[in-house]
Amino acid sequence: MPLDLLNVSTQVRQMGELLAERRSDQSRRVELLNAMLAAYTDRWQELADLAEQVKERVAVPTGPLDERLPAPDPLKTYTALATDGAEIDPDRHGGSGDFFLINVGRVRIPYGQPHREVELRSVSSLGFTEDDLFIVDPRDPRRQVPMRDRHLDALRTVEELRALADLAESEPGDAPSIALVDGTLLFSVLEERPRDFLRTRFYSDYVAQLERLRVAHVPVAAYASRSRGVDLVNLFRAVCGGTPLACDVCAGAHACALRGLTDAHILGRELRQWARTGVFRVRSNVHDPFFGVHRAYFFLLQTGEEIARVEVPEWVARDFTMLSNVHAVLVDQLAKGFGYPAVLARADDRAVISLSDRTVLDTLVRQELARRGVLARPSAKLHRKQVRTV
Amino acid sequence: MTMSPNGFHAPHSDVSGEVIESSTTEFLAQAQQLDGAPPFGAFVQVATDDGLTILGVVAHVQTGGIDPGARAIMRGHDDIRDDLIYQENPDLPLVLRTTYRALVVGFTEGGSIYQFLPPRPARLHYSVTPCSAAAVKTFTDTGLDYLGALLAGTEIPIDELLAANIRQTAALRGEPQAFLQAAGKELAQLLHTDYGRLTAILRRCVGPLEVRV
Repeated sequence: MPLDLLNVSTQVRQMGELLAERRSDQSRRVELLNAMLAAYTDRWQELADLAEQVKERVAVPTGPLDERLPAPDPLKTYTALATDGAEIDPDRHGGSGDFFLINVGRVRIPYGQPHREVELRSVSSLGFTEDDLFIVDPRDPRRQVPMRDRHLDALRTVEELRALADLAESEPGDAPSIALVDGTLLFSVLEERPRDFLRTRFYSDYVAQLERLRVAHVPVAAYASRSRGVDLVNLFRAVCGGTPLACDVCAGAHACALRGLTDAHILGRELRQWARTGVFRVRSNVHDPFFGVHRAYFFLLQTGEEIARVEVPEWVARDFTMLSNVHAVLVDQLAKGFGYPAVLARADDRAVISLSDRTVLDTLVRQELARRGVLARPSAKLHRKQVRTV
Repeated sequence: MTMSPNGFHAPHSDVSGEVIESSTTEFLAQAQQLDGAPPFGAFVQVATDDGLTILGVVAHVQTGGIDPGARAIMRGHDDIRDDLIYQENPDLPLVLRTTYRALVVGFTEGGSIYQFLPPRPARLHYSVTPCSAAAVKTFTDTGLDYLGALLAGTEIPIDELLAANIRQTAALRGEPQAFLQAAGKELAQLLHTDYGRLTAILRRCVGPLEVRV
């Protein structure tokens, strides 16, 4: 057994002690923040102005901080669209050649429309050409970045939204449709240097899909279960300057009271089940230049079990009917899905790549290579793992 | 597809399921429609391209999640019960399925009927159709040896299966008393050492007022 359980169990006990301590410390710090929050509740305009001058990614309030909106009347008839994706990274050790696979689960559930068909599908695509496997800088073709790890994650995110836009464009439009993705609209693309080509590549394509959804008039929302977002916390950190010694709230404490807190700690208190907070814009120097009219806004939603974060593009945030429909649909979806949107759960079911799927794909590839006389040899490292010797 | 004189070829519209597991002694079929399995104890058939038609008796019906890891959970709330649950969750019929297991009791090949195990099992993914009344009559006219095959089944309620099959076959043939007597005799021979079990099965073969054992 490679795990030293005796040693780990001692560490687990220590971790438990620390977590319990942190939890009680957290509620004490939230109390400290009460005064600060109360002071800014109606002075949200000042906060918004300040947010525009901060360098870090922050939340920009669009109304009073204590705004609470109960669930709108449920929609009797609507269509829920969702996509979710999974990928298989190129396997450097397997020897079956370089390829990746993206599997997107795409789901359409028309509610209250018995004449329409439910669609639960997966669309799998293999990336194996040079164009697939390398991202080339259009200004300097010698610069090539392999499509793997975080970059493949970004590509999968784009493909999820493309599939969602495909679904949205084929909607007849006689009932409201809502499009959902899991996670965030503000996905990250790692770049090695400023003004790099990678962001342009992924964000431009992503925004093109958001635009298709806008033209199709189908509001899109990204749903993050148990949000750990800190955009508003970052704004308050900017307000107090992050220097505990000089801060009225922290009153000389050894560390900032905001440390370790999330937006849900600050905004989620006294939020009743199915109610949402007001809408905040995320000001992000990374995303804003690309996103334009699709800049991301978010609100927090109390699902009963937890606080979720819902991100929508600007054209949804500014359209009262669309925003209200997103809220109403999410409430219905959360009730149907027992705490997680039912349509997203179906999309996830269709996206997951099981171990047996991987084995089948691997066998297919090996057979094809063998048929063409190409030997698929695993690397020495993988071979050593497969055949253990003593 | 046209009907043959013995009734062993059914039109495609009658398809009730598709074979998803197959062996010499039994096959598992997924029903075309959720909850659309043929009745417990009914005769079903699978025709293959080489003239072999395998006959089975539905011995177990089950409905659950398609994904083996997914379990159904209670979804009713407030006034939403029964069919309203399906209306409220139109995706359910796509993630649930009904399967039924049929015990192989014989086969037809080259116009002849055999009441013993076929040379090859039913082919995977081939259609399962319910046997017509004519087919059931032809099959049971050739003998009742298949009751012995059913009696040898394991991990299913055999006595209930025998009674269900005999009841349905008697009704389908249009001469219930004659068939019940013939089946009773066959069972009496097979179970001559277990009078208690025999009478228990026979009691289930007829309605409560017609008990003549």
